[in-house]
Amino acid sequence: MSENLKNGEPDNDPCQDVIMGKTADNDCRQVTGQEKEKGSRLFSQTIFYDWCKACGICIAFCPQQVFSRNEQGKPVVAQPDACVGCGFCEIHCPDFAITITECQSGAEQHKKTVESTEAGEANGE
Amino acid sequence: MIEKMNSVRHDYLRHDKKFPHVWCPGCGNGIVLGSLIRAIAKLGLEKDELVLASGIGCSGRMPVYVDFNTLHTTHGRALTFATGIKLAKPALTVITVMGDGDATAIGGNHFIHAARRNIDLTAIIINNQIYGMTGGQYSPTTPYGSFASTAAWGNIEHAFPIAELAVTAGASFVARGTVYHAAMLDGLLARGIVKKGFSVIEVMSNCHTQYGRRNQMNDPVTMMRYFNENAVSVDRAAKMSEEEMGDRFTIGVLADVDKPNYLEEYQKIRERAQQE
Ligand SMILES: Cc1ncc(C[n+]2csc(CCOP(=O)(O)OP(=O)(O)O)c2C)c(N)n1
Ligand code: SF4
Ligand code: SF4
Ligand code: SF4
Ligand SMILES: [Mg+2]
Repeated sequence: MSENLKNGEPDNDPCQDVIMGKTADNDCRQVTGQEKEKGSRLFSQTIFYDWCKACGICIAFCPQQVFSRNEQGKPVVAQPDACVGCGFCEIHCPDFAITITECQSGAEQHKKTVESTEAGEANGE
Repeated sequence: MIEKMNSVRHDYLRHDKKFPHVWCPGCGNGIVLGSLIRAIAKLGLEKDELVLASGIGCSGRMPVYVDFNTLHTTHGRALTFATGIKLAKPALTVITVMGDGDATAIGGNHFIHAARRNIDLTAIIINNQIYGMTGGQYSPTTPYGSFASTAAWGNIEHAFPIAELAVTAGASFVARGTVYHAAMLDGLLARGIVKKGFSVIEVMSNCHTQYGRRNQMNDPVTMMRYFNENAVSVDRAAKMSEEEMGDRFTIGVLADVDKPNYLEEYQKIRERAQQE
């Protein structure tokens, strides 16, 4: 095991964001009407740098070359729109450091917000 | 779908534990952990219904990170602790995670006898073909001719094929997967967990730090490619000659049989004894 990790202090906890639903949606580019008609789907890739150990698995195996490598060896999202959402990077990242989220169109995102607000109200929140 | 999959793993991790976990960058143990969590989530098992017991080794660190009932026991003895738990509380789903050294060297007898008894446990064996934690000594699964810190001139012993050993010893469900075939692994683990009787899932995994480094596979990417190129599905292997197979290994389900398991039989004896 690598010594620096053994002694490393716990970093801030990205899971909290995931649980709270504050994932990649924010950085998600909205699907335009034109793209919707073509049926193309867009995905966004979120990397938790605090957990990433620069193993290179995601960079090497992504079938779409979505990632490039920064000077620390960690992935940088270089071509987000090329992502086909195969999930390979996510299930092969040994450190749970990548999340793939499907981007939604503006209308869908609005609908989701309304629904979750209504559900919240129904639960008395 | 993908979003769901992702948030699920966080539901099962212990957030008060130190993350990132202790394993080396790219270590296959993390991939197996992710797969196990997805399998459990898919089965809809409650955290409190589950037990994850491990022995000692890098793989033995796994229970530390998950929010089930967990035990980190002694080297080679995960199955003995698990047997005790299952007998005392048969309603619990009991899973063990062991290394290749853990399960087939020091714990080799416990392993074959758990299979022979056909006790209702699931044994995940992370086969990285080496003693990872203690510095790369060869294990009973280190391939003939490959190098280890204790085999500087090449290993002169022959490797146990763990899954085949489990089939012969009598396990109800036996499968082999790899960390490269992670999606398939989710399914194999789920099938093993629900199976009544002893289930064994051998996972070929990368320890590039201790094994790969000495065998021209210095990094996780090279080792994952090796698994991809050398794994042959059970169906395809059936049509291949021994020569064609060479050093390659089969992946998929090697055995799935229904036969009386230890707990059912034990219960029957108790009932009979109570009647007399
Ligand atoms: C009774 C006992 N004997 C020996 C050891 C030393 N020891 C710790 S881990 C290990 C082997 C680890 O190899 P493996 O089970 O394959 O696990 P890995 O680290 O590769 O995951 C050994 C021999 C021990 N902890 N306890
Ligand atoms: S697979 Fe995970 S840990 Fe490895 S480089 Fe990519 S994000 Fe980092
Ligand atoms: S989901 Fe697939 S295509 Fe998208 S970044 Fe990950 S590996 Fe590449
Ligand atoms: S020594 Fe090997 S098994 Fe242990 S954490 Fe490192 S890569 Fe994984
Ligand atoms: Mg090992």
